[in-house]
Amino acid sequence: MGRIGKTGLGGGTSSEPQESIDQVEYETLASEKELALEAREAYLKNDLRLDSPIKIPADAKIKDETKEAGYDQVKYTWESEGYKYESRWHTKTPEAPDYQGNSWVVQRTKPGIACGSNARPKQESIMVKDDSPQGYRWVDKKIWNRAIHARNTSGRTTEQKELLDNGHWKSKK
Amino acid sequence: MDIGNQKNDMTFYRGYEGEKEVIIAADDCVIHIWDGYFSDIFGNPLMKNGKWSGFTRDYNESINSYGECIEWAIDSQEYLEDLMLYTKQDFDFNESRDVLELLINIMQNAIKKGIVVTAHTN
Repeated sequence: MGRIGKTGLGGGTSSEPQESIDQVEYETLASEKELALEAREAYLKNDLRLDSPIKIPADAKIKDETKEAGYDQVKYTWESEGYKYESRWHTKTPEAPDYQGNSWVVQRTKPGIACGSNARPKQESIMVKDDSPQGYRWVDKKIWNRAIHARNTSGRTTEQKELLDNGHWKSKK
Repeated sequence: MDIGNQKNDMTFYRGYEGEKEVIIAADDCVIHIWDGYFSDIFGNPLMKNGKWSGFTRDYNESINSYGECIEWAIDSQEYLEDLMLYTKQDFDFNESRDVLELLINIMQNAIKKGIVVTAHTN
């Protein structure tokens, strides 16, 4: 039996070089990592996606991140009927109230047009839970931004707190 | 770009975690800015020569730095000229003016030093 060295190739008595223990361990770890990634992708596509308060198409783009501030975020994006949609799941962020937990925020955007008879700036809105028959309404994102800004600075109003609570849809995941 | 060796400036994003951010990389710094400030600045878009340009275009048309690109390389001169359109505008948030000044400084510095600035949203 040949010497097993750290450089990756042992001596071996056969004509084929033997794999070192380090190399086998590396390949095993790489394989496990690949399996974990595949499992994660399957979970995001087939499980978490279905938890969204708005239906996310199966072919939506997915971006999966762990942020420096210590929370996880998964973003699903797709287009439909002239709108760009984004359904964003995240664990509790530093500034969020404790009761918020893991939640979804859903946004839709109608891109702006600079010139012509249909000229308009970008239109963005956030999906907010309410008592209407469909269970939600779309709120201009400028109003949402004012509430978020107030939460971080001057202190929000009761109305703004309600808006933020109803715009963060609780996740079962 | 080697983000690992660069400083992350969270001045205009701290407290807005979970919200959309604009990430601008210039020189050895990566600056994170809450999208709400961009909305405040560019949400009432101004035109130059009858069209949108720079961040006004990107923000309103959801392209380039506001598109799918991981890092959009900015034409600093074009983006600077666009930013200068907003220096006399009123904004909802006090910090938006600081953000505007920061962006102007970044572009002026990039032009002076000949460095590439990139931007994308997340």
